[in-house]
Amino acid sequence: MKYLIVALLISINVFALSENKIESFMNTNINKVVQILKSGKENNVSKEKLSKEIFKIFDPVFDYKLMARLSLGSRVWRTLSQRQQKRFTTLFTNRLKKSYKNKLNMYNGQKITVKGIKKVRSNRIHLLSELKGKKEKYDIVYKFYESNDKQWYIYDVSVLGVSIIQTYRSQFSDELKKMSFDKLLKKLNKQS
Amino acid sequence: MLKSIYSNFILKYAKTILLTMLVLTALFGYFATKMSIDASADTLLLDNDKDLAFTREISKQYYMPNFLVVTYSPKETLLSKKSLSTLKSISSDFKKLPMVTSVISILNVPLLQSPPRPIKDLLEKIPTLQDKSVNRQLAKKEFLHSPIYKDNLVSNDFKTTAILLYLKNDKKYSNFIQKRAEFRKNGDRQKLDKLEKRFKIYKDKKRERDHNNLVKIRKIMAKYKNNAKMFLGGVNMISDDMIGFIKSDLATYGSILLLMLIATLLVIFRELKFVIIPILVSVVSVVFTMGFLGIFGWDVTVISSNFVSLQLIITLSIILHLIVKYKELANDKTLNQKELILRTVLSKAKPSFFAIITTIAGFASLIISDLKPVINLGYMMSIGVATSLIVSFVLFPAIMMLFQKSTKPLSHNKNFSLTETCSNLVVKHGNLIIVIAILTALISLIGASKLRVENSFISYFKKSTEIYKGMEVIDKKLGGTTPLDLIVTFKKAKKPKIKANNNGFDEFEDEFQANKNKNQYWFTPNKMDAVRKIQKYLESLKEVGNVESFGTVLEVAKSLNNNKNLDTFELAVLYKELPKKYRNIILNPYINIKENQLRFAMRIIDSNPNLRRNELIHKIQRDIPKIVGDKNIKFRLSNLMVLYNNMLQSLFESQILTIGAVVFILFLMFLLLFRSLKISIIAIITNIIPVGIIFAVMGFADIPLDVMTITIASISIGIGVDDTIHYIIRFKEEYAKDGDYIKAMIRSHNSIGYAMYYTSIAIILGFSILVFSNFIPTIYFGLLTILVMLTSLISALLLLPKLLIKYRAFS
Repeated sequence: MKYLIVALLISINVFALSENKIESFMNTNINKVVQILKSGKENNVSKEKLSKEIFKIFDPVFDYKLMARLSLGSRVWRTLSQRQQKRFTTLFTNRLKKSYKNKLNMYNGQKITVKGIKKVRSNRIHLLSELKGKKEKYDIVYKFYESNDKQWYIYDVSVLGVSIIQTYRSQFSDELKKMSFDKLLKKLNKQS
Repeated sequence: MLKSIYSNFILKYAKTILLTMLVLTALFGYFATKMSIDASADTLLLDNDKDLAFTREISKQYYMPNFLVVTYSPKETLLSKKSLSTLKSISSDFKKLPMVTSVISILNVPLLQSPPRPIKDLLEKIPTLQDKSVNRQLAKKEFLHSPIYKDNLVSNDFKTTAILLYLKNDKKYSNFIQKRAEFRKNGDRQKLDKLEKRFKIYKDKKRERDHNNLVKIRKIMAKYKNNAKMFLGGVNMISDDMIGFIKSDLATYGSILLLMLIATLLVIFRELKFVIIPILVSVVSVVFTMGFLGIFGWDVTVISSNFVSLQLIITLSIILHLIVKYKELANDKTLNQKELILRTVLSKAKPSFFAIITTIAGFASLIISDLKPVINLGYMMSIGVATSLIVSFVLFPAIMMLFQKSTKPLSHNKNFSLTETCSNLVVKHGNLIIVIAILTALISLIGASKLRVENSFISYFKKSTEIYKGMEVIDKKLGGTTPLDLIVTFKKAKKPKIKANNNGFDEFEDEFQANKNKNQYWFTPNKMDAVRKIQKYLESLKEVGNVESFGTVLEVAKSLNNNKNLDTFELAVLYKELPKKYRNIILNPYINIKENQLRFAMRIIDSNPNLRRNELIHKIQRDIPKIVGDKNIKFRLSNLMVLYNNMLQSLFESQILTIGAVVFILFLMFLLLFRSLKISIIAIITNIIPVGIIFAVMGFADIPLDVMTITIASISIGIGVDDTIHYIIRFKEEYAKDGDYIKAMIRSHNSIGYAMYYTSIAIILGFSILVFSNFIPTIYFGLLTILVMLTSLISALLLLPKLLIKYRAFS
């Protein structure tokens, strides 16, 4: 669906992020991504190439390891061996990226504007943005947390109030009712 | 004692008695007007059925309003200007009815692909056929191909469409049912009785209201009959239509049957009084019984609607036995009328009394059923036959006192007499009779094993009738008739125990736990996978017409999403963004997130001759867990299809499987009456064979045991017992005279044999009229009754005497 695009469109400096820089950083880099998408569409660049370019921009600010952990839930995560945790994190990241990549061709000239930040707790900041097309309008929220090194990373994104991590949580908890964790790993491996 | 009652009271004050009976008849006649006919689907449900409670629970949890279906086949093409404007004005007429809350038709259902648009656009404004932006050609394509509309809202030839009339929710009715269940559970008898009374009054009113509503709907349909062919139908209508049919049948064939009886009686007795008396006594007996029904508030239902015929048979039998006996005694010139009547009633009192008592025992088998209308039929018949006995033994002597002694002998046919032929056969070919009886019993076993239990309301009507055509349109073209739901429940996740953690992980955990149960996150791939599998499986069943579920919604969404299934995230967004008015159409009837549950609404194609309902239900119950392959998912079937099936299976159990118990009770009755093991065994054998023949004929002719035919077992026992008892008692009397079995038999055949023969002939001729009915159960009922009368008579006139003679029963 078109309106789901660019849920993960973010561009970030390779450097870590401090609180007062979040808004300006996001603004600049989101614009950068929009530019990549626009020229990609005009020049018929492949999805692979486009996504590679985009991921290069925002990989550093996404805490994929935490996202993987959250999408499973602490109860399950703690029962896993280190090897399993590592494997899951890799597979989960791949999946996240793949589903993002698959939606890239839906981009149809929409604009993304950053509307501001909201500090919801001392160590949580929400960056509010809006994706606007000819008719449609979507709220996209990038959720940041402050890590122990006092830097800020993204741990979840929500579109129209639907959290991506929460969606994965319900999905995985449902899968694990039916299958063992190793089977889930196999399934994820097959999908990616 | 009986003698003094008759000589000092009934015969002495005959005119007063008659006057009293007249007054009583008027009184009972008044109560009879209070008797009501209840044809609602509810009367065919088992009160204590767990599936019924479940179905009611489900109907509360999902958005499932009651509705009626009107089929609309205009003369012009469906989407022509004229057809649509007619449809519009019919709809607005329907909408004005106070019972109708909304009218759904091709005019106002959402069109998603005419032309196709992104989901987000559709969510803002979903177009309908009345919008100018809609392309009619595409709309036609959408109606014919969308999983929501094809073979459901429109027929696949695009000539017929359904108009759904949503009806006001009857909260009061469901309150009554809920309260009744509560009181029953608590065992609060007093409150329960009070409630039942109020409920009955409410139901009677509701029935009238519903009926008036139907009349109004039909009136509107009639107004447009020049523009389009229309039928009012659907599962709710079947029983109401059926009662209409039974009533009109009763009026037409009932009166012809009466004329036929009069003619037969006239030919047999050649005396007007012996025509009037049987008819009068039968009518008075029926009026009394109807009066009782009115007083007790027992509703006549589809099942018990044939009680009038049964009572007629039994009353005629009693009264004809009395008349034949009277005629026989009238040959004695020394007796005057009063003595004659007295001896007639006294000699017939014992056999008639026992015949009735055993018949009641036969009908008592109905009382152990779980189905209230069947239980009521049991009581109705017990009261009915007892009434017939009393009325006959009061009215017959009292009326006869008004007449001079009748000396006209019975006019037997000189060239052929069935009774004489029978006695000759017994003497000359006795062993052949036994051989034939054994063969018949064996063949009956084979035939009975072919019996099937199947209730198809649609096949109750001949294909040429309007009512059949209406049902057929909905059944074959618009997705099927009887609703069957599959309820799928997912196991709830265990509550996770969150232990203290030191790396800040907990804060995240709390954040996500708090939002975990938000409805939008419910649509996981696991669940959607199960939905698609189940939908595909149910659609593959050829007995199933339309299947509506969240699966159909997923299919439509897929077609709007470049033929890709929506993922969990997209479904979550779709769920969140869907306006409330569309939730009632595409979500609330099929998913219940709170209960972690899905509902698949199927309709069964009832006109399919190969449909085996019980097997289908079991097949679905077996297949579904295998197809889904997930132990965390529970399945249960519900709705009318299951309830009707439970009812029929329970009826089958109580009627057929307990036949052994009934035979045993009869055996005890025979022992009590005849005080001889030998005679009792002979009597039972004579009775079982006709029942076996009935089942065999039904088995070979593929007549299913259904709501209407299933009572035939107890009826045939009732009728058979009558002949057996009268004959054995007479045989014993005759044998006592000279101790000669053969002579006793010939004398019995020439006396009581005639009474049995006349009763059978009168009923066979009378009931043969029913074969011309348009209502198939009436035809079967007529044919089977004729068969029962015939086989019981033959069994009693051939097999019974042969066995009595062969085993020297009275020595």
